[in-house]
Amino acid sequence: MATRVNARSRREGLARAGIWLGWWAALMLLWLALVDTLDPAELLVGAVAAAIASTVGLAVHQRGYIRFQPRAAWLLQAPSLVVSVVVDCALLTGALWRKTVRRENVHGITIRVPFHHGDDSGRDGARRALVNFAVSLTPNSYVVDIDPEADSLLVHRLVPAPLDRVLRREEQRAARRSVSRGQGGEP
Amino acid sequence: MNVWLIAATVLLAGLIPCGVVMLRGSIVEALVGLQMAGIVQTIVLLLLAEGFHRPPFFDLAVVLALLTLAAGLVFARMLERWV
Amino acid sequence: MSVSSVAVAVLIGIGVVIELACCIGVLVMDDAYDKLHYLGPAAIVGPLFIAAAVVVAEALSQAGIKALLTAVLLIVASPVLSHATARALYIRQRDHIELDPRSQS
Repeated sequence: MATRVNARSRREGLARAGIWLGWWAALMLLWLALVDTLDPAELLVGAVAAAIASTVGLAVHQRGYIRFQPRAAWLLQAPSLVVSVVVDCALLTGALWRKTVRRENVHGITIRVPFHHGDDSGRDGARRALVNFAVSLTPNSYVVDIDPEADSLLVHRLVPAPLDRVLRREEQRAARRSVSRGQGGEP
Repeated sequence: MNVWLIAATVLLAGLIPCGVVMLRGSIVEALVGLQMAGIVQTIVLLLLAEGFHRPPFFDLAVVLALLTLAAGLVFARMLERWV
Repeated sequence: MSVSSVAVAVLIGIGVVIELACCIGVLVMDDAYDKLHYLGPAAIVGPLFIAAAVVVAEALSQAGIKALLTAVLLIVASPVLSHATARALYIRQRDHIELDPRSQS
């Protein structure tokens, strides 16, 4: 029993050391990029500053304030986001042209998109944050609110256009969940 | 005078529409104008830094980009319920 | 005039035009929800062109890295600010602090 507790606390200690070192390395790289010198005095100041910041970062992580556990596979969505940003910039240019030159009425609309809210786990929290970020990054749309009770996103769009890929995927995921809940015979 | 300083001067004109929105719009529209002004000013600082060949001015642009985010979030949070 | 100075001028020109167009978009659009959309290209596309111009002029020196860092910060900030501002307006309208002008017509 005592051996198992020791092994667990050693693993936790190693995990904490790994998190601290990860923060320290990233912050030192940022420092080196900003100061652009290998002068020993600058390196020492950077190391101390990074150590202080890493300690604060580890303390926040240990308190569990931020539960954020994204999947690496989600990065595969990045190229489609770049395409969406370019397409949306063209849509907004057209809207601006219609508003200023052709003096047409241009108004956006707010739509409700089915979205599985999930629970307070790190995985679901990361999904909510990254879906919000991805939808709001594309200029033609942004998330106004996330409704956990209605399991939906309120999204404002300036120019009517087909839903982008992130929203379509979340809509399909929410539809699959409601179908499987219906088949499970929930009252 | 170089192309960077000319661009910075031209871009400063973009603050006029932002100012009009801040003066004449509702309080949330004014926040949108403020955020746009912050973005324009950050880019003006980048252009001035390169135009004057002063590397420390780039630090100002980095800090202003961070402060635009922080200030926008603080104002938005205040406007939800308290103003 | 060298190729790089022409490239710098073109990149700066595109960046400035994008920013000014977005400023006009914020001015002419009717309500805050519509105006918010124009923060996107201003914070994402415009700074990328300006940072690219700095990198072409200075390569990946301290100046180029800081310009890219500024652009990245603005890109990360833009969706966060859009969502936060839109949510503030939605809560104000929902709680009747601010009236939705279109609901009155």
